[in-house]
Amino acid sequence: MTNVTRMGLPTPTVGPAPAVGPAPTVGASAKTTLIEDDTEFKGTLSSKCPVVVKGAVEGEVNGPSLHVSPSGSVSGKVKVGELRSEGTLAGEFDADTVQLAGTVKNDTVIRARSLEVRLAPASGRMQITFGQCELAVGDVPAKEDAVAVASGRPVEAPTRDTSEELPTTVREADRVATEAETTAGGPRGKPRRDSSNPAAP
Amino acid sequence: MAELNREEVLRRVERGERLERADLRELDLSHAVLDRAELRRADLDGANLQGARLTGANLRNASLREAYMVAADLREANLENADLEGARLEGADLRGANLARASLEGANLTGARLAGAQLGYAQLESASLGAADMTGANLTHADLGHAYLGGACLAGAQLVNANLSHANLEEADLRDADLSGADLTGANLTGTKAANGALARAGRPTATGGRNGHRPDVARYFGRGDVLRGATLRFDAGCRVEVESLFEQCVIELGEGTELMVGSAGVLSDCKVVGRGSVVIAGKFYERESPGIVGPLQLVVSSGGCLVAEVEQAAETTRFAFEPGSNLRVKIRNSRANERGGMS
Repeated sequence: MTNVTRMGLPTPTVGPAPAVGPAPTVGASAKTTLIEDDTEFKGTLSSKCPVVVKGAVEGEVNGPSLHVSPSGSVSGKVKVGELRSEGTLAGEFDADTVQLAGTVKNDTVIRARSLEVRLAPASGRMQITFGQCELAVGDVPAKEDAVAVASGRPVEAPTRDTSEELPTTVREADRVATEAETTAGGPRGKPRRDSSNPAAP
Repeated sequence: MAELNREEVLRRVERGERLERADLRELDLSHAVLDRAELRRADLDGANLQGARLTGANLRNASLREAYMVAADLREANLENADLEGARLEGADLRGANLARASLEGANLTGARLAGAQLGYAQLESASLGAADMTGANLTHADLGHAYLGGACLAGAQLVNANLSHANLEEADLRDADLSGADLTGANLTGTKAANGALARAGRPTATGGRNGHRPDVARYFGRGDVLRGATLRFDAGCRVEVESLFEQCVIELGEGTELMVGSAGVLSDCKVVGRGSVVIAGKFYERESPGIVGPLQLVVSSGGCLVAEVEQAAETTRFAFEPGSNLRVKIRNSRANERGGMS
């Protein structure tokens, strides 16, 4: 078998991925950036095409989507619109939607607007194995509001717990970073959500 | 010293004379027949009314502090606003009696029959109500703090906004009881029988919540509007627990395979869940201290569910599932037992 790394070349299909839902069928004309089995890539990979990793990537990945196959691994900083992984992840991942299976290694942070992890059958193989990691997904309501609602007390004004809130989408993270750089005139500070526009994008 | 003696009292009652405001302190009226007696505002402190018949008697605002009323028949009696502090009422028949706003602080009502009694706003703090029959009683806003209700039957009772903090409800029957807004802070609910109403619903009436015994089909239901604060709850292996209430500062210990379901209206605030159970969160969970969830075999956060906690995995790693639409601020850490050989 010849292992290749195709970037921006048409790829006939991407194999099925039952643990994270059906993989999209990529038509003959669709372009995919593919890191093949037994291929290692180090550095920054930016693509306007969906990225498929069957080998190993270490570094930064930017693109509309990233699919890490069961044999693939991605370590580093990733910003994509859609992340589907059945392989191994390590590092910092920002995505709008995430479907996870496989392995998430220690010291990994995953931020997303939506996360899906399917439950493994009790007697079956684990769908996913988490190391020590952090998940920041969706909008978390403030505890005080939740308690007030549950105890029947009126909630004066809708508030959200923003103390630990992280940007949950790539676009939002980018926007926050831009704002931080604009206001601070320097490198990106700790990102904070603009509560005046919580539904962004 | 009482102003009347026993004979005079009996004579007057027989004639239908009123004994309002009578001074009957420490009088021996044991086994006396005082049905429908007018004893409003009478002073019966320390009186002996053992086995006395007082059905339909008017004892409104009467003072019966430390009166001895064991096995007295007080059916349909009006004891509204009466002072019964420290009274002995073991085995007394108070069915249908009106004890609204009565002071029964520290009273002994062990085995008393209180079915259908009116106990709204009654002061029952530290009262002994073990094995009492309070079926269908109205205990709305009653103060039962630190009361002993072990084995009591509260089936169908109205306990709306009642104070049951630190009460002992061990083996009590709460089926169909309405505990909306009741304060159960620190209450002992071990072995409480299930209810279909606001607080509890169990699959088997003989269910117990103790550590011993394996009861695989037992279910617990904590309904909307209930508040449980500062409690430690232990559930047997195989139990199923559903929470639609507000739990604050509670510790929930799950036996092997016990299923804890936080329903969509359920909120666990500043809580901790420990044990090799299965946890499903469709409502909201906020930890008190890290890790807020320790050792679950399975953890599922449903769509709309919210989890803010550090999760320490089970020794054999936890099976996770997160549905799209779940809201998470989660730190996952390896089991302390596995930390040396943890993934890197």
